[in-house]
Amino acid sequence: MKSYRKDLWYVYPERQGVLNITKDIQECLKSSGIQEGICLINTMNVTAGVYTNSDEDPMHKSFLEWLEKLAPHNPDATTGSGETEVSFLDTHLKRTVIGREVMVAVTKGELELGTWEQILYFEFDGKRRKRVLVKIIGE
Amino acid sequence: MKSYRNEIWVEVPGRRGLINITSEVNDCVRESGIKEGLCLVNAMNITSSVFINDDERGLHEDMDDWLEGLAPHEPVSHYRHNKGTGEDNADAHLKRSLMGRETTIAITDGRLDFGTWEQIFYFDFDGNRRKHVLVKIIGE
Repeated sequence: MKSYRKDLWYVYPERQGVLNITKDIQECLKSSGIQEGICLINTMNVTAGVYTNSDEDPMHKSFLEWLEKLAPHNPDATTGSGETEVSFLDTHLKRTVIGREVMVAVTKGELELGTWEQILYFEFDGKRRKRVLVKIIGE
Repeated sequence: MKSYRNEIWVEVPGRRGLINITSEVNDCVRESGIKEGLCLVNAMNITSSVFINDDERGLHEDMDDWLEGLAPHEPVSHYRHNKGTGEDNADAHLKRSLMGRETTIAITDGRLDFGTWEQIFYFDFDGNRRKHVLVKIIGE
């Protein structure tokens, strides 16, 4: 069995938004030399998500609007215990809806994605360097 | 390739509650002897979740409030599932869908490869009974 690990670093220039990281993951897979296996891609930060969907700007905006309805950013709210930094609360909740990680099958040395599937990084608390972990195991 | 399987049994007192299971999963990784691989941790019950986030009490209380707002427990009669089965846990199924069934963590140098604030939690939405979490590790 082979294994491969890489940290990818990203800075999203605004507070919230989507980056397509599919090419970076494909490069990792090429470097790994793994032909058959599983590729885990996860955020290492609890205020961002990794998911697969179509890379389409209007849809990213719709996602953001929808997430904002489900978990509004409210810097003036107070929490039950008062311990949470309130301005971050919505980012934890939005990330929960989008998800922390995806697992993608590796077949014949390629990421096995559906026609429109792209690997996307959703930042909810940007403007700083954050990390995505890529771990591939297989043969 | 090696594989390892274990069950973590938990009992959450009260209808809803959350337990940090990171140290139990760490024990599994150590016991497995696997140095490089993947670790799957999933709830074996469809009214609870396994997820990763920050271990901070205010956040957990806020998450519970948020889930209760999106999928309220009451009125119990509001849910078709409850009417059909005579149960009162339809909200638990919905809450678990939002929080997710499982998480997968990379294993590197024999350790869970975590970000700074990442901890593994079990969130039960229909507690007061013994339930279990599956840990499956594969690698070398």
